[in-house]
Amino acid sequence: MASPNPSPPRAPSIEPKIELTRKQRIGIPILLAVPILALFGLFGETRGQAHTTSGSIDVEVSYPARFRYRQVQSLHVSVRNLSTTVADTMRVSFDTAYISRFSSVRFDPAAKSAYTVDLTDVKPSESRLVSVELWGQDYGSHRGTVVARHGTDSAIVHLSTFVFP
Amino acid sequence: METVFRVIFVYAFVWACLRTLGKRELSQLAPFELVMLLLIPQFFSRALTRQDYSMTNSVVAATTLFSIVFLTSIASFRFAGFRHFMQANPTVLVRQGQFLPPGLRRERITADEIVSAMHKAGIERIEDVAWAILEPDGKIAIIRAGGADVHNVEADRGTGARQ
Repeated sequence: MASPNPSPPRAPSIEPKIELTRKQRIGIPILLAVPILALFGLFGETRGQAHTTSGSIDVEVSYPARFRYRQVQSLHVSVRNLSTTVADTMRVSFDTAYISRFSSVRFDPAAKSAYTVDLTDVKPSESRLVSVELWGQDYGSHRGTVVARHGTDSAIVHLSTFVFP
Repeated sequence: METVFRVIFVYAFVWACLRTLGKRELSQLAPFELVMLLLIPQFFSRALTRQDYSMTNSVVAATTLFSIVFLTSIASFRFAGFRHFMQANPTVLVRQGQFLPPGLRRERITADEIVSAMHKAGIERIEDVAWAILEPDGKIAIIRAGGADVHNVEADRGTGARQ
């Protein structure tokens, strides 16, 4: 009745040669590519920098170049008065087409009118920072400009942000 | 990028925990094991997503997991050493109609569970069992004495003999 074998049956040894089907040969490189590209930061958050000078205004912008849907990122605009006199008002305007692609937009200092921040009494060589908090509501590529004005001088910086779905 | 590392870490961590617990937890659905399997995703879901509910993050996490599983299966198939490291070895529970207490204790398998597995394999008496083996996937394989019949019993032990 009982088997005389001292140990249970074992599997035979087969050469471990990897073979893939045609679909696997196509699909697996794609599958492996996604995490590898993610490791190199392709799907991650990146920031862009832009700088321009016009007459008495120096503008430096740090903006989100890529970020993900429903994530919060901030846009910083540093405006510097290059003139030798106090600037009564330096106006920083954000492109409506750009800002409207985001939701829960918050300006610091607060915007006086639609997407426009006024900086008052900016001393010579003084820098002021305008921060905007953006919440990625619409995915895709969003382009726009930030314009800083003082008198007849205006400095324009172009922005481009991609929101991953 | 962080999502990839988080998925790899969670995969390795859960694998290490299950490997430590032993084979029986792999396919058991006794109440306490069911609770464990239900709670694990709850613990890790937020750590994996980090409030990032974007489709991109989900795709990166899912493809990372699929890639790990694929690469692990390739390595397990190709290299015996890696296979033995990743998977548990089979444990003999019954030999020629005799229970083997060391294996049963090590795997925390009761005689009732062996008998239940025998019944599912259509075997009434322990003397008719040549081998009962707890396989790496947590299932009990029953080999009938004096014949070539092999029965892989689904590991839903505890639903038959315990009643």
